Amino acid sequence: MQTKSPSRLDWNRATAAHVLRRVGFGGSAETVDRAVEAGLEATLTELENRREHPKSLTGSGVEKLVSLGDIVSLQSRWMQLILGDGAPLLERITLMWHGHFATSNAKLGDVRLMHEQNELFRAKGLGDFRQLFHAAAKDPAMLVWLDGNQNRVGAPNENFAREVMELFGLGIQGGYTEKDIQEAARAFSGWSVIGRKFEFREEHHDDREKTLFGKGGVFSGEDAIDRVLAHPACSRWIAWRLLHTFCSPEPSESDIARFAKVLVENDWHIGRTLGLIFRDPIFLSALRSRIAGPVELVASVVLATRAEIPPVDAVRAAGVMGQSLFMPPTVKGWDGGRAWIDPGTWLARHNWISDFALANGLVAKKAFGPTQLKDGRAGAVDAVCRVLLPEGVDSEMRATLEAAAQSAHSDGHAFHKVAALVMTSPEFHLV
Amino acid sequence: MPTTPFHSALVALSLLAGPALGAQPQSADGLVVLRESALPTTLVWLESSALEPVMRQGFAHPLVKQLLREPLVATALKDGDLDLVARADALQALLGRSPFAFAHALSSGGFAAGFTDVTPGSEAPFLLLRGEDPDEMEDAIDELESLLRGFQLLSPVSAQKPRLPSKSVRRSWHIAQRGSEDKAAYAAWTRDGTLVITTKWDHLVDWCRGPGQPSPLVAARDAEPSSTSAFAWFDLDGIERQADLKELRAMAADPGTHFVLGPAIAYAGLAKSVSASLVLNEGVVSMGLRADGVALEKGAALFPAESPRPMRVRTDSLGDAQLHRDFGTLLFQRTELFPPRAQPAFAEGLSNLALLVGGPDALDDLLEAIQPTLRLHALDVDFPANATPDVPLPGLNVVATLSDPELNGGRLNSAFQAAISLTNLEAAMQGREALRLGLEMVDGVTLTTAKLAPPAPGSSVDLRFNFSPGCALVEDDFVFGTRHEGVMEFIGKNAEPLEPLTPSIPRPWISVDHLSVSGEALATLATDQRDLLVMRAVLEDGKPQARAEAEADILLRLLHRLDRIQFGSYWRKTGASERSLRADLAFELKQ
Repeated sequence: MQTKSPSRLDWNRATAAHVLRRVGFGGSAETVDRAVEAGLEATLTELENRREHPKSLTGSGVEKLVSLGDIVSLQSRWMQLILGDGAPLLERITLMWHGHFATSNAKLGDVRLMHEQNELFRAKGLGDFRQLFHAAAKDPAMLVWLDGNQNRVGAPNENFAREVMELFGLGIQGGYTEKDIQEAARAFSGWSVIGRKFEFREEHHDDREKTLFGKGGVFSGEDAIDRVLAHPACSRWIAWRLLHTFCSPEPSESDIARFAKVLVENDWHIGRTLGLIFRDPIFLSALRSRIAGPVELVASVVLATRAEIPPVDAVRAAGVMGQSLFMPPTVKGWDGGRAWIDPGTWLARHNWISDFALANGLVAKKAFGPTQLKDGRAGAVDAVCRVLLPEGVDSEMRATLEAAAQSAHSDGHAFHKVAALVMTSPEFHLV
Repeated sequence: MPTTPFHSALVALSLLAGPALGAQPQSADGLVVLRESALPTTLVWLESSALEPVMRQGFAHPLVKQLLREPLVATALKDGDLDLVARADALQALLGRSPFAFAHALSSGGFAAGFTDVTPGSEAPFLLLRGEDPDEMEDAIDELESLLRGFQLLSPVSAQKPRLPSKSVRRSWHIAQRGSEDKAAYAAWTRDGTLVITTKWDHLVDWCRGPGQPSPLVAARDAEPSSTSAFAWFDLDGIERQADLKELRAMAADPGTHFVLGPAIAYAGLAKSVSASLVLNEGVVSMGLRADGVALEKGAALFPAESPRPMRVRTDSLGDAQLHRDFGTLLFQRTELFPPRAQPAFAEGLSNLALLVGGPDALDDLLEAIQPTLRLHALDVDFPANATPDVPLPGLNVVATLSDPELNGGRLNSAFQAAISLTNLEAAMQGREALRLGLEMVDGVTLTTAKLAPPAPGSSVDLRFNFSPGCALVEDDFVFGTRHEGVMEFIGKNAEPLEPLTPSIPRPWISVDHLSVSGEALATLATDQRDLLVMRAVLEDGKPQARAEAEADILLRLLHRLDRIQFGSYWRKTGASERSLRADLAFELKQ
């Protein structure tokens, strides 16, 4: 079964749904209709500018929730911010940085540190990357996670310095040497965490001369990060990250170079760079080209169908599918792409979707609209595809769906059955 | 505590309606008669005298008025596109009189409902109604019959069905939509004035013939106060023959239920029958659960032989409890009391405990030495200004009386210190601060404490700052507190005269557990954490924000109306090997 290929640069329900899914986490049929009517530019502007979460999820209650020390509560709160759709791009970028500067509570066991890091990504994620890099490097959760707080003169711990280059700033092929890592580790010595706060312990800092990327001098940890930022591989690495997340899983070398330049020309401003990516033809042409991550999948299903499920259930569902928020599996974060799918996670996706569509979650009247339901099972395929696969379906898949609708034990059941089939089709798992 | 499904809603509503609701006028006579006509095959029985004043007063009834004023109810009705007043008006136009008056005419002398079959797919519900005034009831039945005929819902009864006994039946009906006769209901108006409605013709025949012998529910209801407003009865043995009760029955073999809820609740699931009652009195709303025909076998050893001496508590206490937990029997007889799947957890737990107290032999001695009556005291904590947690909780003291207190108190003290050391080890692995152990003398008593260093100024104060434990041996009592200040207070207050906390022990019942909690304390705690309650309802239950807030506000209003909550569980011997168990929960309202 294959989805019908629309004209990829047309502005229609398919491309509008793509924009909603990629800039945010998706939207209902009504949201897609509104986007089509508003046009691409107005839709992008609206998604970019929407930055307000309900006060109930950002007020004093959050501090108390964090005080409970329960990671599931924190995961649920983040999921609710995603499902609430108050700040779609902000939550999308926060999730991206969570994978980029991956830190796991499995080692930390400190919900407050995880929360503070999460808020850091939210506060600085769409701003100047240089500020974000500096802040993330000094983030207590990060230093504890990578043992950066154990780095002392005479006994350097290279773990943190290695990831600053390999994962945060330059990428695996970033053109640095083992010696560069050792020298950077000396520069980061003395960085410490005391009482959940970053603290520079001068007595543990190696203040002797070092050489990084061929340049010598007496420099600090902050200077080391500045040198990483000045390295030509850094802007390429961050451009790759943005294109990989928002466009194609394998961006072309020319696009990486083009947007690395854009990033630097825009003073490393992530929001402005993303704005230019969204308005570039490569963005719309990336329709259904990437495998949805579990959080993306669950959120897009919930938002498309206007379902009301407990955020904690959405968290658990994504976890079973391989993405537990605040618990990336390694320092690399989630590999994503093809790695999202293995026999176990594919089964988990099927199980959750079947349960959602047939038992707990999907309310056909709310998802597909009362008027769509009036036609009974005869209109089920069109009504469901309008919401879940606006690209449409080919004749073979349509025949399968029609047969399923006809074999349903009631008109209402037909909508649920067709929805389950559409959502378990491979096409639906591409965003 | 398991209760009938309608209990929590009824209690909430009655508390909201408040003193205006008052004691309900009773129609006990009518209900008694209805009850006596219950079939011996009745599996579930529900009756309520509280409906009579509601039907009599309609929208003017304080409960109904309060219900309609509730924003949550208003929202639910709006969401369901349901206008109750408009519906009542429409019904009034149809009936020619108020639907409440119509319902009152049919049910003023009694209302009961239930099931005579709960087999999935073949359930047989029934409804019994009786009007106090026979003439009014006849008028109402005439109207009902005319209405059903007008809607073409009356069908002839198949001639092949057994005939109803004509001398006891005044009228009978087969109610079904044309073409849907398989989804029928059958009704009969008997000569004793009862309107019986059920879904099975054979059962209707039985109702009309009369019960022959009284159902055991009659005796169960007679054991409850005459002022009972709602009563429910469940024939668990009968239900089990038709439906799955595994989870309920398994409670008796669940160690967690025994440790937390106690033996009376754990074994209630083994009962032959269970009854639940609701009493609405001026100032007190009480719920009761009674389990009859419980075969305890080896579990009998887990119950006290006699009621313990009432504990003495402060009059201004937040909450106190006196619990019967015979750890020695529970652990020494674990292989007889609990299934094999529970044994590994016991082995692991006992092994860890043995390490803490100095070996398996010492643990055995200690378990025997701890008297089964435990006392719990909740305390207001005066947190240091720089270490008040974001979510401050009351402290809790647990007091156990020991035999050979010097030896066993020392063992428990060692266990306390060892547990703190282990906690510190884990904290160190996660880079968190350690609890610092210390010793203090208070009124000649050695108090062992474990304290956290205050958090850095301006930083957040996590939940763990509620935990600054302490323990001490005070004469024969070993006291452990989640806050060392609480233990200190216990030592200081121990010599002072305190009020006895007396559970209402109706003889020959023997008290098992008794718990008393201040409504004001709960209200303060919940008010301070309203935003957290709302947030958790949104995140974990998936409730919309507005609904979560409305529910939290209802809870707060309920709590602010409460003076105290009292819970008691009891047992009594009723046969050679059978026991009856009961649990009472009372909400005492502020006057």
